[in-house]
Amino acid sequence: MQRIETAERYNWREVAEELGFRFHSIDGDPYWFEGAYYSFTLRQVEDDLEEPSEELEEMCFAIVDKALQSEEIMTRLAIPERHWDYIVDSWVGKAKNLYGRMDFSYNGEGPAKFLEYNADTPTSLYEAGVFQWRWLEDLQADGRLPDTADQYNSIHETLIEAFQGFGLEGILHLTAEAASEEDVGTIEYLADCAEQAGVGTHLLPIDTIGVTDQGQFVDGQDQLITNLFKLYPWEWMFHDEFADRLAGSSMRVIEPPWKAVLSNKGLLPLLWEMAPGHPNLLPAFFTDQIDADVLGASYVKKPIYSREGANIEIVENGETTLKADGPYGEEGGIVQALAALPKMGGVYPVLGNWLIASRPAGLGIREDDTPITRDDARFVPHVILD
Amino acid sequence: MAKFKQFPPRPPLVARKRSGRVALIAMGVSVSALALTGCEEKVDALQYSSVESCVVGGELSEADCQAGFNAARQDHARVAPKYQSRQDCEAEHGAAACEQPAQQQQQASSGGSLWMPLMIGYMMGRAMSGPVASQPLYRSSSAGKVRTASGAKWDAKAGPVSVPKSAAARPSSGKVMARSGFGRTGGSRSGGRSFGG
Repeated sequence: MQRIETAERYNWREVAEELGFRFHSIDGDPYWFEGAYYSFTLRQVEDDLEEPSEELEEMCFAIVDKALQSEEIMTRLAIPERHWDYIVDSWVGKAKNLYGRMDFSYNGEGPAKFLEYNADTPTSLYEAGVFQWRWLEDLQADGRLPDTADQYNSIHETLIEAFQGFGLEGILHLTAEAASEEDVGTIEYLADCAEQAGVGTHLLPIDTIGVTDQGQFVDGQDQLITNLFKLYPWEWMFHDEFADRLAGSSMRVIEPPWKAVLSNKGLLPLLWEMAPGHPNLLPAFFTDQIDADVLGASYVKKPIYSREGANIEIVENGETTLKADGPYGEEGGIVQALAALPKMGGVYPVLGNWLIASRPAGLGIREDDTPITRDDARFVPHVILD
Repeated sequence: MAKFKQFPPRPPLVARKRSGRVALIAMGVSVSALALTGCEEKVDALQYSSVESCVVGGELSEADCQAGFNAARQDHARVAPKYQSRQDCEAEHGAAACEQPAQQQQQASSGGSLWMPLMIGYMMGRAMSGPVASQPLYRSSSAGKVRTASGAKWDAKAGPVSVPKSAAARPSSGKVMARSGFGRTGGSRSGGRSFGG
């Protein structure tokens, strides 16, 4: 694994606009960054990322199974009790899931360390699946990368297959917070994939959803919502006003409710408890577990619910060396052994391994100037060479 | 060789780890940042006054014509717009175009006398699983137009018809009681540019 600096395509912004990639810059600074790329060997990708992510997904399923039979675990995960049955029903009913992103710390050698799982509302999907793919095609067409260069990235094709496999009846509504251009871009991309799979789609801002006197959800035109993809976390949905109407409605939601168990930092101590010493896992504990002491004086503290790096604190030798602000933390937290991100070319990359319908499907890398990957971290492409 | 081909053809594959082709059908073309509120796309539907007219139309098999009708008929009483009086109903749907729902259903509702339009036809898609849900059609107040339960209108001609996508979805059941019940928790907590991650 190497970070290689290279020239940008002179016209990448035009290509981005042409392909509907409207959030390629943040406040004038590039969010998509192609002044460098990461190069992997096929062995690194297959043995160190793809296979472990598949194995971890199976372990995650075992955790869901276990959590849903344990009041103690569900309480620890801060999932409101009144929604437990709704979640259990989705698991017992084998409600299919669409996607998730496992984040790893990895420098090309030794086992990749699993940092956390965004199993419910991951973004940066379009960048990884489409724009990164196109970048490689363009560099190959220009002779800057060999024809033999490849990429760990079947995201686009796999998404279309996944939608074909969902067996959706009727239209798929997709919703997000209209204020977030990145989130809207993500659901637009998912809608595009769904359409290519033969599924009709309709996008709507999340606050336009209505409920009828018969307990069904409707869109802004009062049409019944039969299937809803929501780029909005379950833990927030469960605290919203309409939460108690979910179970009684006939609306099928993607990601399914059981993803609430996985998209929760509490997953990390549960995994460690189930498979202590697993090469891809970092020791992790709930903050109130006595074992937390075994981590010693250097660790990372994360709230159970946290997004985009918010409220994460790094403690080294007993002192807080880095702390990100944010609105999270009231539900409790976890501590995890410190697996500092590698520093390459002066920046810190984190590797996002995509799972589509629970199968490994691709890689997206984001780099930050600090060891905590936050929402302004840049997306950087990758290749597989030899 | 053109320097920039949008989606260059691929050589025959060895086992590759990336998509063979990545094409977007809508994303790259749409100008509006918000398809959320943008102008509406159309989808192809079929509409007929009866199963017989559908069969004669020749677009669908008799079995499909019947299945579409059955689904629409079944939803009719549930989704049809309801009115407090015959007069109100006829004002919207025309003379002699209204009926009272079956007794049982009337008792289940608020108890007053309710009126709803007669089902004068139905629409459906070419495939049962497509974007067009089978649903009843009603006479509208505009001459020569039919309307759906939710009020979308278009020409009352038998056969293929192009309709707004939102009107093709299955009609909802019941009256909308409340909106904005999702989204508040996020709105109060996220300061970032993405609510996902």
